[in-house]
Amino acid sequence: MFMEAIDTIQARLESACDLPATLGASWDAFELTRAVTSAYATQASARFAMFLYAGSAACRGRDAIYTAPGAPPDLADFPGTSDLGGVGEDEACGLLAALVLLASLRLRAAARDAADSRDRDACQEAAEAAEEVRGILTGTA
Amino acid sequence: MAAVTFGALIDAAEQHIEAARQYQGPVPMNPGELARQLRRLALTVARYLDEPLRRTGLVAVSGPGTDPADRALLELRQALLVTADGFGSLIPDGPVPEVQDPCLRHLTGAADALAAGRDLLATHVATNPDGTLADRSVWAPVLTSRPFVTAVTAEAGRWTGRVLDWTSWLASHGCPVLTDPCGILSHAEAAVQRVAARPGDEETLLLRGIPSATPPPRITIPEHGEPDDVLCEGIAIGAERLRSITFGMPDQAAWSWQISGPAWEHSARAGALICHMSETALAMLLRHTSGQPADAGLSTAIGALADARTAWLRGVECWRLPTTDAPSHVTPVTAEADALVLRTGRLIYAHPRWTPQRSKDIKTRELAGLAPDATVLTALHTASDAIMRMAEADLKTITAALAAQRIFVPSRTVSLSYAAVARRYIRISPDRSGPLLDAYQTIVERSQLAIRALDELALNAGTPSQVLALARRAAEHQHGRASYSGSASDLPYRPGPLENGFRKMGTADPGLLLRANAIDRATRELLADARDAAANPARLAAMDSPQNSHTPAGPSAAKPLTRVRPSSAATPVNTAARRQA
Repeated sequence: MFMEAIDTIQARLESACDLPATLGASWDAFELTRAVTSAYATQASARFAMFLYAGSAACRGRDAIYTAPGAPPDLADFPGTSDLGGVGEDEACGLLAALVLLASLRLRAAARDAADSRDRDACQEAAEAAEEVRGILTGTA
Repeated sequence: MAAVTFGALIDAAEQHIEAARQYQGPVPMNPGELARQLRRLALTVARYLDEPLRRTGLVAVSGPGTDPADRALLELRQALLVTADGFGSLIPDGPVPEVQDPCLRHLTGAADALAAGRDLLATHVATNPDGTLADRSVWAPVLTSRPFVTAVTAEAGRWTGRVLDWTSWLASHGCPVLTDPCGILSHAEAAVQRVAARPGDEETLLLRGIPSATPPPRITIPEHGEPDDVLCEGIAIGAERLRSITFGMPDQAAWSWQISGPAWEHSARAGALICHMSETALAMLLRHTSGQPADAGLSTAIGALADARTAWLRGVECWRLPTTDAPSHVTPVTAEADALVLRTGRLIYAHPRWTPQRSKDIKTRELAGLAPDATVLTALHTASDAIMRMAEADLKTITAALAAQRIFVPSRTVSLSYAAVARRYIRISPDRSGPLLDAYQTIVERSQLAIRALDELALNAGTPSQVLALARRAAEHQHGRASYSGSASDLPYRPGPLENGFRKMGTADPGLLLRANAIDRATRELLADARDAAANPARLAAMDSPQNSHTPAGPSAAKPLTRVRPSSAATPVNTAARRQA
């Protein structure tokens, strides 16, 4: 389920051609990151702090998108997942870091193109949160 | 800078007294100034006993059921007041001369240090504008506990002995201050001998470990890291600050910008992380002490901390959707909690600049590189205690914020009929607030279990943080005594007309003076009740009704967006208890 969700969201981010599509796909990227990091945090491994704080940064990105007037109306919360599909921590970190990197690039681009200043602010804030998530997951924060 | 404790001030007074005793020069022949300082000493020591007296409402001493320890406390206090009065009669009128004599200077220093100790104890209680008194810190209940009363009575007895020693020493050197026409000193001496209950080590530790309710200034965390001893000191100070800040939060729930959903999520994360790091460190100690009797205690604590961590994680998850009308991510609570996380992490992990955001693949320290066991245990115990206090305060604050209708959820998460309202957030419904409160209730319960396990470890190891465990025990055991809810106007140390009359007559018998004090107090109570009844009979009746119990304000009373002055009344007045006292 985790791998499938990653692939689906990645494809949506790559194909997003307008603001609502970018915001919707980024929302899902943040929600997936939150759910997956929460599931790993529950395992209380040596990377507990990293997963905990990555999840928090993802929540901030998600909440920023919620304030954008251009966000699609059907934003849905990702169900909590305990099905990590046997993906190890290292692999999950790499996959999520790549996903949020893509989200941040798309959000930066959307911020440049957005007509409404509230959309611009929301996209920039969400992009910063995505970069923070990536930094935490890759150990480069 | 470590937090000042009562013990440190007592030690300072002790050093002054010792220095004065070592003095080899000529004996001071300024009886007026000597009497002034001895009077200060006696009055200050008498005031040490005010706190247990006024909080437990002990005034009537002649009843057959009066506890002997309470009677000793009352008689000692009265004897000290009489002694102070005796010295006071020797003080000449006129300006206070500058103290030049080394002997007198040390006596003044001792009186100053003792007065500071008295002020430190007084910081734990506040007087409200209406004259009622309220707890100002988690230490306030300790001040009514039996261990505290025993220890402070013994301490006052010891200092009374000091005053008497001094007086005798001066008398033997021909100083005229020793004139004792009323026999006051013999009364004080007898009172000291009646202080039967000698404090145990734990009671003495508890008394000496009481800090000020005003937390010490924050120590800034340098970018390059800190040595272990500074880290531990920073943890102790940060924990003290966190306890102090969170204690006042429930009173601010209806109006403060510091009450925010993101901040609660933030502090829940800090709670989870402190528990996790404590588990990790204790597991290292367990490996270190394998095969020793402490193993069972360590294993229990590790399990309890894991449960607390799980509960905190659920708390983090609970804030995924709800938020408040204040959006602040950073508040004084989160700042202190973050500092605590950072320092605890740097004590355990092998990187001086460890942060949770830069924690990937950073290993824990090797055992050889870890600070001594007691140091680590003290740091973990102190940090976990502060987190547990934060959990208790969070539960109260969230309850109050819900009553004030300050918690919201995104409208996307509710059914369309509600979401049709063109708002992004709507007030949280009871079916959603219930799980939130349940989660925090669980956090409190699990955190309490964890801290009790750590208390046991600290007590067994005799770490400096064991005073936290002793304070918790003392506060829990004081529930059988009358709770604190008195009025400042009812303080027993205020002499009434009858007692003043006795004093003017030159009566020095503490028993007679105490009875006069009890009659004066009863008269004041009666007059106060009569005034209340005359002014507002309905109000008096309502104060005795069940509706006056300590329940949070209902939604109808809440005015979430109205800025009002915070009430400093942390504890509502319990009229029934006051009358009983």
